[in-house]
Amino acid sequence: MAASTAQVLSLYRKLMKESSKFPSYNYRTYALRRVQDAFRANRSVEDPKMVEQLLNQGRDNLDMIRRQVGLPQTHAHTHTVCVCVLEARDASHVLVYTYKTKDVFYFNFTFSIHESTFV
Amino acid sequence: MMRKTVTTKLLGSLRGFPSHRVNYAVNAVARELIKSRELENDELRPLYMDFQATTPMDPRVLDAMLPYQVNYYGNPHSRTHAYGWESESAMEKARKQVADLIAADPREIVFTSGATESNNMSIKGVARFYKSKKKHVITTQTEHKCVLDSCRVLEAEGFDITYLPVKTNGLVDLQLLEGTIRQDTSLVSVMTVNNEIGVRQPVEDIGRICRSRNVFFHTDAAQAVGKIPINVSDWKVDLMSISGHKIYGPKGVGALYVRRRPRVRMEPLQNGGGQERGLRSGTVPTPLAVGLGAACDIAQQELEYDHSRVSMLANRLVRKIMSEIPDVVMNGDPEQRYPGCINLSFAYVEGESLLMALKDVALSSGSACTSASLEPSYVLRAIGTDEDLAHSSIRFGIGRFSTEAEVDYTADKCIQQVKRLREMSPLWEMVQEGIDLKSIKWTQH
Repeated sequence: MAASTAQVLSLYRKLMKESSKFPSYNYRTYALRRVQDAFRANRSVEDPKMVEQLLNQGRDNLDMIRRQVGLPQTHAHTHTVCVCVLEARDASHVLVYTYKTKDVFYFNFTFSIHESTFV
Repeated sequence: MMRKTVTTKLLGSLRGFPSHRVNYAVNAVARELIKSRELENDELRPLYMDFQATTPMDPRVLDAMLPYQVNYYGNPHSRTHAYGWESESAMEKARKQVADLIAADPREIVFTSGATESNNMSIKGVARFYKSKKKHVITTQTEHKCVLDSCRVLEAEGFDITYLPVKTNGLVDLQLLEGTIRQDTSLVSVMTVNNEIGVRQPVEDIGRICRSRNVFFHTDAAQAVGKIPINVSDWKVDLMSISGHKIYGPKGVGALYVRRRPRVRMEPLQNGGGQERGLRSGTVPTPLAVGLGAACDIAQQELEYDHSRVSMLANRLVRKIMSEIPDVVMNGDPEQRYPGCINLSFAYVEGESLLMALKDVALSSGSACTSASLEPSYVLRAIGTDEDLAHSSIRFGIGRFSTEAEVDYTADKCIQQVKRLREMSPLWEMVQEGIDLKSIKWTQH
C-alpha cells in the first residue's frame, strides 16, 4: 500500500491534536515542536519503504502519546509561570507573564495581533 | 463592564481594532485573569532551568516502564517461569540499549542504583583489588563529591591520592597528569562533563596517556551520556559511570561500564547472589533498567537534534544577558564545554539574594549536593574564581524540554533583578565612581 500525501497529513494532524492534550507545558511544547520538526526533516524522503517505516514510527508515537495523555494527571503542572496561550485558529498571541511578589500580582502583557491573518 | 475596564487598563487603548477582535481580546484576558485568581492560593509552578540537578522523565521512557511496573513484575533472575524469562529479556534489551549509546558490548554494562554507586564501585573496587602492588590513585579537584569522598576513604585505608589542580578554564593540564602518573598508579578518575561549570575534559587525550602508561581510566560521564557522542573504544576508557535521571530516565538507576578487553578487575562493593557478573549483587530493578534503556535509546536518536537546540538556546540566553548587563563572567572554558550548563558570575551581586529574587525560575548556584552549605562551590574555588565572584554565581541548565519563551523570561528576569540588586549595592556605587575595590582597607568595628 503506497503511502499517500493524505495519509501523511492525516497522521500529522492526529499527532498534533493528541500532543496538544498534554497538561504539562514542557511536554506539550516539546511534543508539538518535535512532531513538526520531524515531519519537516523527512519532507523530501522518496523511497516508499522508508516512508512506510517512518509512518509506522509515527503511528507508534501516536499510540504512545495517546497512552500518556490518557494517564491520570492528578498532579500535572497546568500553570507554569510562563503560560503561552496560542490560538492557532485566530493567530492572535496572548503571552501572559505572571509572577507573584509577596501578595501582589503583577501582570505584564505583550499583546500582538497579526493584521494580515484577519478576514 | 468591570472586566473591560480592567483589561483596557492593562492592555492600553484598544482603539482602532474591529469590535469582534476587541471582544475576543477582552474575553481571552478575562479568562486568564480568572484562571490566575483561581490559582492565587496554589503557587504557580516555577520554570525549570536546572537540568543538571535532574531531568523530567521523557514520556516515552515512562511509556516503556509502565508495563513492567504493573503487569510484567517478575524477578529477572527467576529462571523457572515465564515471569522471570520476560523480565530477563527486557533487562537484557535495556542493557543492549545502554551499551549501544556508548559503543560498548552489552556484557560490559552493570546496572547500579545510580552514578554515585557506580563511582564508589569503580574507585574503591579497582583500588582495593590492586592494593598489594599499586597504591596510588589520581583524580582532580573538580570531581563530583562522591568521587572525592571515595578517595578520602581510600586515603584512610592507606592509599596515596593525588588531587590534580585544574587550569583557570577548568580543564586538566595533560602534562601535569603525565608527570603525576607513577609506577604504582592503579587508577585515574576524571569526569567527562562537569556538572557545575559544564566544561568538557579532553578525555580522548587522557585515555591515550593512561593506556600508554598501563593505568586504568575511569570517567564519571553522568552529565555527558546522551548529550555528546561517546565511544569508549576511541576514548580508551576502562570504566564509565552513567546516571539514569540525568538523561530523562528514572531516578534510582544507573550503570557502570566495565571494560572486558583488557579486563578490568575490581572488588565488588555489594556482595550477594552474584548477579551482574558478581560485581553488583542484588535484584536488578527491571522497570528502572527498562527505563534507563529506553532513555539511552531515545538519547541516541535525539542526540543531534537536542544538541543543536540546546546550543541555540544557550547562546540566546548568554548573549541576551551579557549584552544587557556589564560585569558578568562565564565560569569555565567557553569552547570546551557542554552548552546546556552555563555558570555565570554576576559581580557586585549576592548570589543567594539573586536566586531568591528569581523565585519563579528554578535555578541553582553550585551543585545540588553542595547547596546546603554556605561555602561557595569547591569547583569554582578550584578554577581560581575570586571569593566574591564565587558567591555570586548562578548555574543555568537547559535541556530537551526547554523552550525559547522560558529562556527569554529567565534572561529578562535575571537582567531586571541584577540591575535592581546592583542599584542597592554600595559596592556598585563605588565601582561606578571609579574606586578600585581591591584597594579598600576594610576595618573591623
